[in-house]
Amino acid sequence: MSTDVRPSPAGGLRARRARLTARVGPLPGSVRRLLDNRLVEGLTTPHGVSRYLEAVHPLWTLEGGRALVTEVYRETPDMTTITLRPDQSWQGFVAGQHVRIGVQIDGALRTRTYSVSSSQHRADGHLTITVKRKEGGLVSGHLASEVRPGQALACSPATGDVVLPDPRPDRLVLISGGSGITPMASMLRTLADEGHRGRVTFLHYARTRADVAFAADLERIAERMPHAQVVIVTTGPGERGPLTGRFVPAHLHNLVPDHLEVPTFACGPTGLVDAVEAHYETLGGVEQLQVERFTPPVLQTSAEPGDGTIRFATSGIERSDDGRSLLEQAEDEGLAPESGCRMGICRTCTQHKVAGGTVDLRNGRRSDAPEEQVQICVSVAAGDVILDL
Amino acid sequence: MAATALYDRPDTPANATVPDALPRGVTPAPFRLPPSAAHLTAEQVEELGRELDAIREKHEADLGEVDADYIRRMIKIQKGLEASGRALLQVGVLPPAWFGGVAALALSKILDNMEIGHNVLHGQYDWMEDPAIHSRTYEWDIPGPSEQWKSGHNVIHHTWTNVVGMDRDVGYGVLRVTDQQPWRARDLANPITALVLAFIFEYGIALHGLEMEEMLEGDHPLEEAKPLAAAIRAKAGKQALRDYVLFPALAGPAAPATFAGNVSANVVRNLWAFTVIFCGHFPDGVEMFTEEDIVDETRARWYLRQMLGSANLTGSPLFHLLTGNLSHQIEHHLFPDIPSRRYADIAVEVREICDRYGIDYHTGPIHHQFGTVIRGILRLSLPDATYKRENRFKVRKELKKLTAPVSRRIDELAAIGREGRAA
Repeated sequence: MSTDVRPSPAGGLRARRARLTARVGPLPGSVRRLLDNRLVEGLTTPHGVSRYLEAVHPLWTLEGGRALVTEVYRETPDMTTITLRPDQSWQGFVAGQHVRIGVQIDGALRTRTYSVSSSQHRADGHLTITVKRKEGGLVSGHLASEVRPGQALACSPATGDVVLPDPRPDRLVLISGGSGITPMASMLRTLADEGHRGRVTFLHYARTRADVAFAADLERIAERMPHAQVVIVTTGPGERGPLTGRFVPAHLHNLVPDHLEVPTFACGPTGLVDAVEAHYETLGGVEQLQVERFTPPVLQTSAEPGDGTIRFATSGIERSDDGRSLLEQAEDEGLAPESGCRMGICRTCTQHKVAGGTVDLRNGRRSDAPEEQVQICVSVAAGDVILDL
Repeated sequence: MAATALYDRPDTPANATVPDALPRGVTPAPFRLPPSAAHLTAEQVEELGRELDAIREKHEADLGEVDADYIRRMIKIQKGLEASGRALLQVGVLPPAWFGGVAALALSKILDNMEIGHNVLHGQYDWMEDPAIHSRTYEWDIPGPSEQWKSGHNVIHHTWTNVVGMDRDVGYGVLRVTDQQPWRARDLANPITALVLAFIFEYGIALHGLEMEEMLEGDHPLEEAKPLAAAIRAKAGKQALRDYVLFPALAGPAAPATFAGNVSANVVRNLWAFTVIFCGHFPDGVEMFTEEDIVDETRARWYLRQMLGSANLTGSPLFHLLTGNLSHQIEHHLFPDIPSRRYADIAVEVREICDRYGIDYHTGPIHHQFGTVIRGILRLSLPDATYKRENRFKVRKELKKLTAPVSRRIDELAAIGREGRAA
């Protein structure tokens, strides 16, 4: 099932260049220090030295924030692990954290958040993300099938508060479903590398065993650890095994009878996380539980302007949409976003849309993806929308 | 945009159309149309607008990898040219290196300003969401800060194109480029001003943002200009430090050659940019507009104004690239935020539309177009009277006014002389 994805057929100038690029790392610190001074800045104004260096190698920028793909590995038909060699701006991560990955698709940079799936003690300093291809998912689909070693991606510093506690607890319960396995895998791998001797119970929910990324790897790791246990619960119809079906409290009662007193992490689809949370809340163990939902709360999208809410995130203002342009409504709220021609040609008014749907009045084109720029003088809300204003 | 205001206006203003040109029974548009479009009805103008909207949509929907690869390639070529130009000028004491260096550096600056900077700052590549190629963040190799240029150019010039009194690019506040600008004595200097401006064009563009004209006339308080002036000083200072101090200093004994090379590259870029840009709106036949012309203007009428107020240049693909595709000024003014590499294709469609609607499409080779620009600058330096019989009287008066101080002075000197002799 698993295949290693290599650069496109050997030979070919592009492939050869990609392999060469993949072998070259970020600029050594000494060179960076040499270049990061006012003389070089003065010589390369207004573009800056990075714009010249990156023409040679994509990781050679002083500001950083990029990573080079060194390996692409298909874990399951719809899950792909991408190994990344980050540049000097990478400060490492704590197991459980995520990074924002940007990739150019059809010319445009698209950014999504992925949990790191590797151990925080990886010797070569590389990290991996494991991407699950979503139905109709633009970025996940692209990362899963188009990305090749040698390609550079944008990679933010790691963020996230749901992390492996330090000092490590004696006992730990990890519950995940679907792609929620990635931060849990990172935690388990990190603990294994530390020679952790505490009891760890890792419960993962998937439709079938074949859908589980790195199942065999995690089980091998658990075998090496003295008190770790990996249990894969299959939820698909006709599946057999020690435990089957969606999460029920009985699963936990069987494996860890006193789980309400054990630090517990739950990560995955909203349904699973809600069920776990409800269980801990009902029986009074909720202070032990930390959760992360991998499906964000759904914003209402609507075909007609005028029935959603507009949230101006920076100023904390929310108003119900009256169907006029986002610029006019922002101005009504006393905000003063920059604007110019008010007819969509000068782009002075472009604002960052965090999430939600908008329609461009000039051509009726919708923008539904998160993290996009919209010209607010010619855009109206289509349902709920959140603007960085 | 108020698209409906047109049709229910009871008081039809005087129309500049030639009524005979309209078929019987057709109502002329209730607004002035330039002569070449005078035969169009209001409905036809709106239809023309819809056709142009359709072209815009088609190209917007098609944006992708090809456009992104194009601009990235341009940036790479520019960086390569700049690096090699600067390297050659470091050894600029050798004449071949000096000439090669000037050529490469001038080309780099032309690409940076015209095909990359101007187009990126129009937001043509904003959809890529790449901060290095985004209109919000891009900064170009020119003394004026991009932030100021964007508001003067993208907002004022592209919205109020060729509306005399509103578009500050009509003569840039220093030149008389249309007889709709009333003649003033200082316009006698038109040819010299234009010549000087051509050599220092980059600084002209930078200072244009200060609105000095308006300041002198008291419409624009000096206080507002201070932070703008500070920003210009800061950026222009950095540019000058790089070209005229740091790189020459690095060249050691070759410093004078490097200095001269950098000056030359900047001047070559200035002359070229001046030539191309002046061919955009000032050749013969290009229409100018008045503030009344744009009352209740719809998007379609805005399109029409852009088309008739701009002029193209004919030439090879390399020529178009070197003009930053401003050789497709008409298409650029219709769709200022569509990537410029598409203008050549769009031009075919726009030209077909112009033919079908029977309206002018101004274009020609650069030597011809620029020739008419120069002729215009020379002609307009003189009061209208010199080429319009009915104004002859006014000229004499103006000339008298101009020469009055001089003749007075002569009289005074003569008087002193007389007194001297008498004493």
